[in-house]
Amino acid sequence: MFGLWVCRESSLISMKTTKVDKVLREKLGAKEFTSMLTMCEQCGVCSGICPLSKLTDFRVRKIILRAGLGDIEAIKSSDLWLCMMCYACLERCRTGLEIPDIISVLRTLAIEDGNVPDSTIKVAQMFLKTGHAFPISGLTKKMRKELGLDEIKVDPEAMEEVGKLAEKTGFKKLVEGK
Amino acid sequence: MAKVGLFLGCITPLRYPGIESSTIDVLEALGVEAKILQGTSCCPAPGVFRSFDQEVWRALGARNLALAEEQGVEILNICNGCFGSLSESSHQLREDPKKLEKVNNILSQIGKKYNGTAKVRHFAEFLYRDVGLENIAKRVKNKQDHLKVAVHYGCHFLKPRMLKEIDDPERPKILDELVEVTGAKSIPYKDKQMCCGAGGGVRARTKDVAQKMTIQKMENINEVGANVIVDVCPFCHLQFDQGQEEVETKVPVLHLSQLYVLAFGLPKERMGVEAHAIPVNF
Repeated sequence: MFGLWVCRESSLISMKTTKVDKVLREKLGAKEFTSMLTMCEQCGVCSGICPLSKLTDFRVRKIILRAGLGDIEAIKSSDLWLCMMCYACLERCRTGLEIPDIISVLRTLAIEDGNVPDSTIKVAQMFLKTGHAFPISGLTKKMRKELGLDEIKVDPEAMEEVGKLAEKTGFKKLVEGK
Repeated sequence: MAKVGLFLGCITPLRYPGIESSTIDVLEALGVEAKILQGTSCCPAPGVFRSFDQEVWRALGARNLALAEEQGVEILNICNGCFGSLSESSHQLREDPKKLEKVNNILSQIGKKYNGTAKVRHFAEFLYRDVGLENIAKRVKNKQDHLKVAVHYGCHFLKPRMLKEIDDPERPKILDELVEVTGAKSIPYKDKQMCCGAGGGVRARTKDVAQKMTIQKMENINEVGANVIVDVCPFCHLQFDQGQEEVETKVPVLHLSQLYVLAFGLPKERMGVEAHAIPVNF
């Protein structure tokens, strides 16, 4: 039964190019060949090798299926943010889909739709302040001194450059608007 | 041997400075000319920045790549995350002239240009290929034969294999050999190639999921009786060091550079193990 259902939906995938697929091609540029969700055969190797499959309800195959069907609701699923980007599926996908990239682009769509975890925004905000994605702690400062390592401080010149790049790419607006 | 610029990233200098001092000392002991690459920002971390937008991620990465290009050094990473992010952005900019042009349009705002020539290296791969096991072996003073090591490769040291071309990511040997050259024994364990659980922004967002992964890894590591975990990434390092709260038999964690401090007989205080949650008593 289930197999038949998958077959039907897969044939639907092959019939049309969806909005998600178009966005993927646009965002991934020259890699349109591998970003074509229509090529997914739903073999399930990705879910089979994904370490999250054992421990959670996260299923890569289903994410790719829903995205391929142009199911925009898929990007509202919190599952997107469970992927650890471990690349196990990338190594095994027999069609050669660049699955982690696809998930990244789906995350971009989710962010544009206002679905972004607070933790992601926090890291981005920290980066805009310090140029780094990790906080500076008192212990580390003390240890760096004892180890004779350079004092960690925000490099004003680097930050000016990073700030300009963040502005030019629209990243700043995206982060500060949250 | 190539001149290298050490790319520090975020977690090493801000959380485990001992990995930084160990790396500097080990490279010096091996006669490698290394300087810290100045003026860099976060690589940027793909789990967060690539999720926002591919363009943002490439532009911020290209700024770091351009710094190495200007200084005429290869970028040496001690973190799999930085290595992964910079390898992939530099690969895309090398292979796709359109992307390079777009990035340079953005970089022109800060008076920078990236020519697409930066070489991105990983500490372990650099030691293996450019320094060589024989030269490392010559430097080993204190045999570490008391160590039964659970080697943890992490995800972005070897994957994607087509891009990294270092070793088979599902049955690798490189890091085991780099560990065993110290006299330590690398012990095989179940699901050795599995992720630590921290990547992709998962540790920050859903710590419980990250913990489940780590606990599973620890069950496999404890089953074979390893007495130390050796990694080549400060983020995996952090996840193993801080993620064992609920694990009964805690196994201390060392970055490869810290293991070499021990093996080379360099001053132990340079390992900076005070920053570790799980005490290191070797």
